[in-house]
Amino acid sequence: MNRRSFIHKSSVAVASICIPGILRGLQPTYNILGHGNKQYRIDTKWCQANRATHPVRDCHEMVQDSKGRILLLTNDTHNNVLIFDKSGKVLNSWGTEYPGAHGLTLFSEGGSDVLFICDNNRHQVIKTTTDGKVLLTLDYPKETGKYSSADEFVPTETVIAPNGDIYVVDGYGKDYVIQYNYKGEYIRHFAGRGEGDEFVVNAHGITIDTRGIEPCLIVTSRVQNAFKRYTLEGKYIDTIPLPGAWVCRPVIKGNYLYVAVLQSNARLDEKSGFVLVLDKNYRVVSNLGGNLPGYNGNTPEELYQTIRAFEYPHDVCIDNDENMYVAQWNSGQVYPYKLMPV
Amino acid sequence: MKYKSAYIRDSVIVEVLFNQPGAAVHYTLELRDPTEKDPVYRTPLSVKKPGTIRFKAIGNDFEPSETISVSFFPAGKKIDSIRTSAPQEFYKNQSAETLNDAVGGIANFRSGHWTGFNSDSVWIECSWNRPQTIIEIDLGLLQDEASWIFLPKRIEYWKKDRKTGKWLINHSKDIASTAKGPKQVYIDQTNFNPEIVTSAIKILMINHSNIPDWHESKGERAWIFIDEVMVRSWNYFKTQ
Repeated sequence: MNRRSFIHKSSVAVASICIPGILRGLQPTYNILGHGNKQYRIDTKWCQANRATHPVRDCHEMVQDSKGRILLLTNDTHNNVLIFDKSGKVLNSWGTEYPGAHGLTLFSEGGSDVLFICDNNRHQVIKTTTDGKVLLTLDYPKETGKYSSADEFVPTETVIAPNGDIYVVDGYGKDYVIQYNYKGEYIRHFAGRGEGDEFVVNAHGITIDTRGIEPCLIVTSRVQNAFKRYTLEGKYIDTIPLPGAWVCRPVIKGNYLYVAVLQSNARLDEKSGFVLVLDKNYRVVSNLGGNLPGYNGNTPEELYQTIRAFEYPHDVCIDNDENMYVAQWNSGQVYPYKLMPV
Repeated sequence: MKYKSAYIRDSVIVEVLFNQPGAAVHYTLELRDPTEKDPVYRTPLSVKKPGTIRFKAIGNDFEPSETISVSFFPAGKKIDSIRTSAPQEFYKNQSAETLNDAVGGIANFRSGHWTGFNSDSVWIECSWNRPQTIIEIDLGLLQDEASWIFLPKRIEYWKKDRKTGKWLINHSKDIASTAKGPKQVYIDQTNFNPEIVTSAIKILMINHSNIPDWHESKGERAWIFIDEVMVRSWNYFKTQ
């Protein structure tokens, strides 16, 4: 990281009176994490990959496909996509063209699984089959009038609406949400940075929540420690504050929303991550590796790490048996962990 | 852990965040690691005197956490006027007076209390309406080499001669940088013997124009971050 990016980050960060790096998490001598009815047994040795043949750098995101396989996206160009069975055995791998592989989204298109990869370095979003054939490439969104070059566009995540519309978040660029139709034609853009609740800082992830009466978009505003909700047309609805938590992508499975938290405000740059589970009303019900969730009325208490189970968790995947997989960034090239409900 | 400042004028509240069922935070004011026999932290502590508090989380099902400590320092005397060379735009505070506001001491360059410089040298001029007796000066500096923030290579103290009005060097010290240190608030202490009597002093800090060779960003210009100048007419550190 260069100094310029430090300046960039700090100019948007909220000043904190928390001291980082002081109270370390406890080392678990038993391996149950979480609270209430969302407790898990962690298996850090789930992955059976051979590092010599299937290396990883940052493990950025994971999804499960319709065949039940677990797909991992890494920025190691020996094999950008690693495909596992649920027992952690490598079934297949592909991809050498994605040096900035960051976002991985799966969509069922007319019964066929397709993937959307966000590449930070290529400044592109690439749609592929699950065996790596490229179907569509989205370049930087000139049509918005907000970008003068590809370098300004650093997409981090996508979500696909039931009608095939593609929403891209430019989470390491200008923080816009850009909406395209299924052919990749620009429709509109919204969010971005600014003064006001409707804006975001570090729009790292996005998903569609279909649990309510009307579907809505949930967009990460990581540096603001919050999610922001919008209609599918980009109208701001409200903010879900998660104080202290650098939330990554929201992942919805059943009635719950799961999210990896890269680190806490209380300990920036010190491997202080954890994983949150929120109920249908967006209330934190479990904190894997972190403090017992508490509320003052509707406001959550500050969230932080208490057990050093994770370093920098970057994404979670919940499989069809409700098991959780956690992929980590910058954590010693560690393979994903699997967590089983207890 | 939360506190408003490590520099105390009256008192400071220290709050520790650690809600982990099955574990409790113990603390001590003594110069050793806390044990489970030490008091359990339950509610925020009010700190009225300088010193060091050590905390440790201990629970039956866990290995104990590392011990963490926080030190509190007495604020310095009021400085009538304080001026500095130009800070870097992103890290300038509202005014140079924040270097004498007894707020800071938090080891995070984003905390909002730090004034940051990336010039080759930094000067801070403190002056009073009446001559002062100065026995000790402590500087609150940030050490965070991973973020390119280094301690100054050299610190010089100059005083204004009461008769001629000229600046005279009184004291200087060199600080070697040979390896990445812990990220911390570094209180640089200087005792003056004999004492200085003057109405103005100037602190000159020489920056690393080139980050040393041991660092992954060698050759780039380093940064100096400071948040407090504590001028005393008594020895704090010598009496510890």
